[in-house]
Amino acid sequence: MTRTHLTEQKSGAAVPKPLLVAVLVAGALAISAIAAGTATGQTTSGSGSAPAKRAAISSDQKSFEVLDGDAYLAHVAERRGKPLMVTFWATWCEPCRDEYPMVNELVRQYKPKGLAVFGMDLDDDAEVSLALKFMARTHPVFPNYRKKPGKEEEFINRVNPKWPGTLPATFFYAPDGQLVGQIIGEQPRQVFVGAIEQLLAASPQK
Amino acid sequence: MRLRVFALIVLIALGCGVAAAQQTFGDVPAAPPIGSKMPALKLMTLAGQTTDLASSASKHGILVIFVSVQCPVSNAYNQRMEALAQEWTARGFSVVGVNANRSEAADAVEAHAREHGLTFPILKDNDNRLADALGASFTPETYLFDASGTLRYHGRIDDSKDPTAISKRDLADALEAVSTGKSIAVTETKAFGCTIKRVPRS
Repeated sequence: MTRTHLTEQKSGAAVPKPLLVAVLVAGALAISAIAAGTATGQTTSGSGSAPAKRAAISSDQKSFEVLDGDAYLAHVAERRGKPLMVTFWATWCEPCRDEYPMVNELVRQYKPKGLAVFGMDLDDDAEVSLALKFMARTHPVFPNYRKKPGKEEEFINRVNPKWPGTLPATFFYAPDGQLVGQIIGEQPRQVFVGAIEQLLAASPQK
Repeated sequence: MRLRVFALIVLIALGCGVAAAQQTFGDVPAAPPIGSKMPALKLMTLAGQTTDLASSASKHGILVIFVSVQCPVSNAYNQRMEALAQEWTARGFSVVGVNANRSEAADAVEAHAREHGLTFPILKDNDNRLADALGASFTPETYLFDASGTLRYHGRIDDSKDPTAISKRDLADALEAVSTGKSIAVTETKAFGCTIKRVPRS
């Protein structure tokens, strides 16, 4: 679970987002194409360079494990004892891409206060390289996993029967593992802050 | 970034404590149960005329699909939506697209429909009152009302964004059942989709 060592690298980036996207996507392209190719067995075109980068990205890729509904719940259970936030995203989801850096910043802020966090990517196999590029660009300070493709409805209901499947979505678990809150759809920062603060307040530190 | 500027005014129900029930932060209305009546709410045609769902309904009922210009999931279904519209319009249903995204204006919706060959009418739900009344939260989310204006099916079109991997066509099954006066085997389904971008409420 101690995944990234990238924690503070990109924190102060106040570059306008579209520019940042354009520049960094171009830069990350070769790297993540390789990562996607090696780690998932995907065929990616144009992945023939930068072997020096391979090790670093591969170690990232290890935590981009594929989870079915049971494995998801096992990951939730594994974090019992701590308040937990799980954020669901996909590269095809524009508001997810918009909120992800904000969520990442909140995780930086609240992790030291005891909040456990992981991300769930809902991209299909064909979109793995995009998802890796996205993470290479946004440097999440929390582990991310990917939903095993297929069986969408079953997965949605295993995670949360009250979730229609709307993205983005973020779920909150009390230290006893109970699902206690959700944020569905595009919501502003203060809604996240309110939900996290409430979760932490209701979760006595051990 | 720009989206965040439209900070929604959201009342967070703080102080509810850690009751066993799951709390929803932010404002997403719940969907009405199957059997509910079709809401009588004002919608706008892309030409700017006022209308509502009832004035579009046909012999067997009306299929409402919340659509989007930009959502890749909704767009993955463009051809399937058009095919459904052609088939089921011919079989006595109305098929209506509803765009409730505040970020997608009527002219953009019209251009998108033309570009992607969507011939069924698309209406603007400008302040997402209909989306709220139906608890619609993503695109493409569908609602099937029968001839009496009763909600019979709510959910996905089918079980795969990828058209080559479909195993269940829940919406078509529901249409078939309603058109032949049978009961629908599965009345509520789920799928991943893009959130509907609602207007801020004060």
